Amino acid sequence: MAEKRGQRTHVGRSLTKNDSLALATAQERFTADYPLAGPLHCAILYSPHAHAEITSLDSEEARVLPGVVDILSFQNVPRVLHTSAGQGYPEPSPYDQVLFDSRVRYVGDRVALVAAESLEIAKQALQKIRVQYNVLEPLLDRRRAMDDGAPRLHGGEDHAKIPVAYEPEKNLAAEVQIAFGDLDKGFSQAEFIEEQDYSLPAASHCAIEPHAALAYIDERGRLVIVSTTQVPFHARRIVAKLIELPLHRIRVIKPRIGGGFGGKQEVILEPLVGLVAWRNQRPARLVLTRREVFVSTRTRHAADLHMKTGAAKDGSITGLQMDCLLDAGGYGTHSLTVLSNVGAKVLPLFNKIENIRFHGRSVYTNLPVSGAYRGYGATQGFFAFNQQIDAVARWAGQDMVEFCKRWHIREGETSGVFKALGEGKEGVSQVVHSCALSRCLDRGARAIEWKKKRNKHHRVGEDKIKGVGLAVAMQGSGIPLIDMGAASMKMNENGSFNLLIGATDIGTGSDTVLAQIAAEVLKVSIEKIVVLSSDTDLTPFDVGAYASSTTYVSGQAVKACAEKIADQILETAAALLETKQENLVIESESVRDLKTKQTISYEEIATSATYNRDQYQIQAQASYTCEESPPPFIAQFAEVDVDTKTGRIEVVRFVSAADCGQPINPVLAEGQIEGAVVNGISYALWEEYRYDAGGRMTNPRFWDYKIFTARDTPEIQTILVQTEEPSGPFGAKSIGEVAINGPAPAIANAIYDAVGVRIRDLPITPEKVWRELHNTEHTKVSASGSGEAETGRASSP
Amino acid sequence: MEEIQWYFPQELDQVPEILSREGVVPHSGGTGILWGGMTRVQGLMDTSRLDLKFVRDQDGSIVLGAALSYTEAAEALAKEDHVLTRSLSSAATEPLRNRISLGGSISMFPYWSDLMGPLLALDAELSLVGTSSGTCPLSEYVQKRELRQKSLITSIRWPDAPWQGAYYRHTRTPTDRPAFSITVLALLKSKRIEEIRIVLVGCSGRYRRLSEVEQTLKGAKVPAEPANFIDAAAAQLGIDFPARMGFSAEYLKACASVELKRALAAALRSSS
Amino acid sequence: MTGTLHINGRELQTSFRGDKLLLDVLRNLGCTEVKEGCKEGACGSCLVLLDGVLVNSCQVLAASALGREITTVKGLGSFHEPHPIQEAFVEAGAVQCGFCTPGMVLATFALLKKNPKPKESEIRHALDGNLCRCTGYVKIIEAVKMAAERMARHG
Repeated sequence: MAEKRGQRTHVGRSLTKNDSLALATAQERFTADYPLAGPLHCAILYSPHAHAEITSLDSEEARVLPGVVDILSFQNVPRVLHTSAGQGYPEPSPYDQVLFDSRVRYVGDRVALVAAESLEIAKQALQKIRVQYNVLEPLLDRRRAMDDGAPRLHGGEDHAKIPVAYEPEKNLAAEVQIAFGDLDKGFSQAEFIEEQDYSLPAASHCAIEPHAALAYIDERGRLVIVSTTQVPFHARRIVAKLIELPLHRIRVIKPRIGGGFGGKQEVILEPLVGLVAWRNQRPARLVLTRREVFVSTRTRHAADLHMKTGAAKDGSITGLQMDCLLDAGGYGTHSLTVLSNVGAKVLPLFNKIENIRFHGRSVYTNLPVSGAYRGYGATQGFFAFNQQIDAVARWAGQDMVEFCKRWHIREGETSGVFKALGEGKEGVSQVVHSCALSRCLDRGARAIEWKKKRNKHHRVGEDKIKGVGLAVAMQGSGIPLIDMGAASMKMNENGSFNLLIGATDIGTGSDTVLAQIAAEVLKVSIEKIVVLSSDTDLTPFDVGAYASSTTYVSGQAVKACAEKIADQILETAAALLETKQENLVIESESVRDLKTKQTISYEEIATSATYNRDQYQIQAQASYTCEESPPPFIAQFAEVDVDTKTGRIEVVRFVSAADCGQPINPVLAEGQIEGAVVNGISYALWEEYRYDAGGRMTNPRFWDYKIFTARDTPEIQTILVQTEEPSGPFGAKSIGEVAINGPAPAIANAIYDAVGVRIRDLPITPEKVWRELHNTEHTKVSASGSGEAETGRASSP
Repeated sequence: MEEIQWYFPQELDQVPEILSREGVVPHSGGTGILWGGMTRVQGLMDTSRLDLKFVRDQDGSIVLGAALSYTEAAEALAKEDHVLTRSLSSAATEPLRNRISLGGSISMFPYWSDLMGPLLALDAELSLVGTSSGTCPLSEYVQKRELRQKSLITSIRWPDAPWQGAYYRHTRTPTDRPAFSITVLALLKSKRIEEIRIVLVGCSGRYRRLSEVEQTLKGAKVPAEPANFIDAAAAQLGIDFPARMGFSAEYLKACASVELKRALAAALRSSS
Repeated sequence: MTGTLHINGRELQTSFRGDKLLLDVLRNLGCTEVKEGCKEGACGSCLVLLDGVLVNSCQVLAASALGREITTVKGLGSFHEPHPIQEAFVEAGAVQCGFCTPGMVLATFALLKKNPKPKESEIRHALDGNLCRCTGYVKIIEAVKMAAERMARHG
C-alpha cells in the first residue's frame, strides 16, 4: 500500500542514535575494553626489509623466556592460501597471502607472533627471535612493476579465485579494460584535447580506535572471537579456513567499533588470535599500536591516472580515455575491485560520452598493503575527472556548474558502463531512477556564492587571492546481485521487538537507521525496538559495512521482515477482534478496526499470542540482495584563499549538496557527509605515506602524518536534496562514501580559479603551489639536510 | 630493566645532590622526557613540591617559575597581549600546553620550540640550581651544553617593557609543530623605533638573532616599507634552513623571507 | 612505586613500575573509559583531568599522578545521570563511533569551567587535542555550544 511521505513517523526524522548516551558516558565498550580471564597477550615481529626470504628463524631463546607460551611463524603454522579481503565468497581478490610466510614483501610484513603472559614479556621475546634474511631487491616504483627484470613478489601457487586477469609473474594483481565507440574517431573530432597525468598517494584511514581482536574458548569448546571487524561473517569464514575448524565451531562478535572507513574491512587479526586461543585453549588478545595500524594494516591505493578528454566547440565531450595504475602493495586485497570502481563509479556520471576507453592495472610493489578505503577507487577517479571537466568547461567558455548540469546522467537514463564494469564479475545494467544532481549544483552554487566569486580573483588582504572550485561525484548503493543482508525480528509480550541484523554498525548509526525503518513499518517507538547486530551465532547473515550497502540492502531486508511481522500482528488482531484482516490498520503501537473504531494494543496482541490463545511466537525473517546500485549524487564546492607569496592554501568554506534519496535520519546522513568531507580535505592537503629508499614508511605517527583537528576545519555546509529512490527502503539510497570524492578536486579547481595554478598530484602542498607560481626548476627529491633522504613517492633511487 | 627511581624534593637545597646521581633528570610535565625516550633515564626528580609555579613582578622584571606550564604562563601574561601568550597558546594542543613546562622546554630546546624565540628576543635570564648554580642569560645557556646537564632551571626573568610584537610559526597545519618561528618585538616612541628585537628559530644553527637588522632599524623612523630592510639584510646574513617536515630548504628560506617582512610590518604597526 | 590514586573520588591503592604511563595504570585498574588511540599525545582519546587540568594520560608518568585527583569521563556523569555536556553531545548528533567522545566531553568540561561563554574559535582551540575522524567536528562544535548555553542557563 503506497503511503504518502507526509505520513511518515520515523523515516526522515533525526532520532538520536540508540547507542549515543552509552558511548558518551563510556557505559559502552570497545574491543580492547572487554576483560579476559588470564589472556595470552600477543605481539608481532615485523619484517625490517621490503623484500626478503627468511633463511633461518630461531625462536629458542624467546621460547624459554619465562611467561612465553607460544610462538607462531611459518615453521609451525600451515600454509593456507587466502585473501584477507573482507569480501563475499568467492572473493574477487587474489589468494596470495598465508598467515606466516617464509618470504616477506614489505617493511612491516608479518614474520612471527609471540603469545605470553604479559604484553611486556611478549615484546621482550620478540627481541630474542633470531631471524636471518636473504635480502632481495625491492620493487618500490609501481611504474616499473611490469618491466622485464623487475623483482617478482608472487607466483607459485598464488591464484585468482574467479576468472579475472591475474598475472603474478608480471606483478600484475589485476587488470580491467572496457571500451565503447571509437575513441580515435572521437579524438579526431575534438577541437580541444586535455591530456594530463594525475597522482594520489597512499593514505591511512586513521580510525581513532586501533585494530584489536580477542579470542576465547567458550563453555562448549567453541572458538569465540570479538574484534573490530566491519565484516564479521567474512571473518568467520576466513578464520574457519585458516585454522581448519568447521565454520560452526566459530562465533564472531562485533561490539562497538571506533570507526573503520574500510580499514577494518579486512580479516587480519582474527585468525591470529583465533589460532593462539585454539592451540593453547586459552584466551588471546591482540591490540595494535598506532604505528602498526599505519604500516601493517591497509592503506588507500596510491594511484597514477592518465586522462585524455576531447571536446568539441560546444563543450560536448567527443572522447574520453582513462588509464589507471594502482599500487597494490605487497598483497592484492581489493586491488581488482578498487580498480574497477575507478572507472565504474566515474564514467557513468557523464553518460552521453559515446567514445570511451578505460584501462587499469593494479600492480604489486614491496610497500604497505592497499585495501578498502572509503570511496574505493571513485575518489582517485574523480580527482582526475573533475579537473579534466574544469579544464574543458573553461576552454569552451562555459561555467562548470552549467556544464555539469548539462551533461550529467539523468533519471530514466543508463550508461553502458554499469554493465561493463562490475566488481570482479560483469556488472549489472541499471537505469537511474532518482537523480537531483542539477538541483544539488544549483543549491550548492548559491550557498558558496559561486557567481560572485568564480573567475573574479578577489584579493583578500595584501597577498591572498580567492577562488572557488566545483567537483561532482556519484557512488553506488551496495554491489548488485552480490551483497546480501538479512534480518529477523520477534515480538515480545509487552509489545516490544527484538531486531536481529547481521548489518555492521561501525559508528555510522546503522543500528538506529535500520531500527527506524522497522519502526516506520510497525509504527512503534524506537525505544521499543531492541537491536542486536553482528553476532554470527545470533544474527542472520550480512556482508558487512562496505560498498555503502547498509541502508539500501540491509534496510530492504529489515523492511521486508517488519512487514511480515506487521502481517502476523494484524492476523492475530483479526482473530482477537473477530473481524477480517482487511478492516484493520496499524497505528501507533496498536491495531485499529476501521469499521468499528475498536483498538487493541500491541501488548494485548502479543500477550495473547504468547500465553493465551493459538499461541505462537510472532517472528519473521527476510533477506535481500539488491538488483541494482542506485547512485547517490553530490556537488561539492570549495572556497580557498591562496597566499601568492608562500603558496599557502586556506580552505575557507566547503559546501556539499547531496542526493541520497530519502535520508532515513537526516542528522546521521549529514554526519556521514561532514566526516567524509573533512577526511577528503585532509587527504587533499596533508596526508601521504612517505618512504625511505628501503621502502620503510617514515611517518607512521600523527607527529608526521597530520589529520584535521577542530582548529583546522573550514566553515562546512551540508545540504540534503531529497529524492525518492523507488528501489530503496522508503526511497533511500546511500551516503556513506560519496562525499569523500569531491574535496580534493574541488580544492584543486578552486586553486586554479584563484591563481591559475593546477596541481595534479596530492597532497596539494603550499610548496607545490609556490613552485608553480614562482616557476622554479626543481626536482621532487628534497635536499638532504637532516639526513633523511625522503621522497614523496617511493621510487628507486 | 632497572626500576626508575623517583625523587620528590621539597627544598631547593636538596636538588644538587639528587641531580648529581647518575642518570637522574628533572621532571615537571614529563613530555620532553617521554619524547626523548627513557632508556638512559635512571631516576626522575619531580619538581612539583618545590614551589616553582609562580609569577612575580620584581624590580621591573617579570619572573616566571620554571615549572609553569605553557597554559599557565600564557594565562599569566594574557592581560598585556604579550607575545609569549600568543606563541604559547598556539603551540601544540590544549592538553599538551597544559603539561609542557617552561623549564623542560628550555632544557630541550627543539627546533620547533614556540617558547625560545620570544624568550631570546626578551633577553631572558635563567636561574639555575645544581652543578651550575646562579643566573645565566638564556643566550649563553643555549650555547653551552654543559650548563644543561645536572642543573635545574628554577625561574626565567626578563625586564618588563611595553613591547609591541608579532609572532609567526610556519607549520603544515595549525596544531603542527613549526618548521621555524619568527619573533619580532618593538618599542616605539614618537614614530621612531626605540628598540627592536628579531629572533628566528629553526634555521640552520637552531636559531638566529638578527642583530645586524636590529642595528639598522634601531633609532630609525618607522619605515613605510619595512620589507626593504629585511631583503637587504637577510641576503647578507645568509640564513639557511635544513629541509624538514616535507618542506625543502629552498622553500623554507623563501617563506622565512616573506614572513620576516610580514612580522616586521605587523610589529611596527602603531596600534597592535 | 606504591601509592594512592584518587580516581573520580575513589581512592585506589596501587603499585606500578616507575616508568609506567598513567594511561596504562588506569586501564589496568579497570578504567577502560580512558582509551588508547595513539600513545603519542596526539589523539586525545586518553584525556583525563589531573587536579582539574586536562592532560593526555599517555603523556603523564603515573608516579607523578600519585596523590592527585584524577577525573575520567565517568567522574562527570553516568548513563543514568549524564552530565549536561554528555546530553548535549547526544542531542546534537555529535556521537558517531563514540571512541573520541569521552575525551571530547572532558575537553569541553575543562573549557567551560574556564570560559563559560566561549566563542567558536575558542571552542576549536580548546578541542584541538581531540582527533575525530567520523564527524568532521561540525556537530561536536554545535554540541559544545549547546552545552555552554544550557549550563549557563541552569547555573
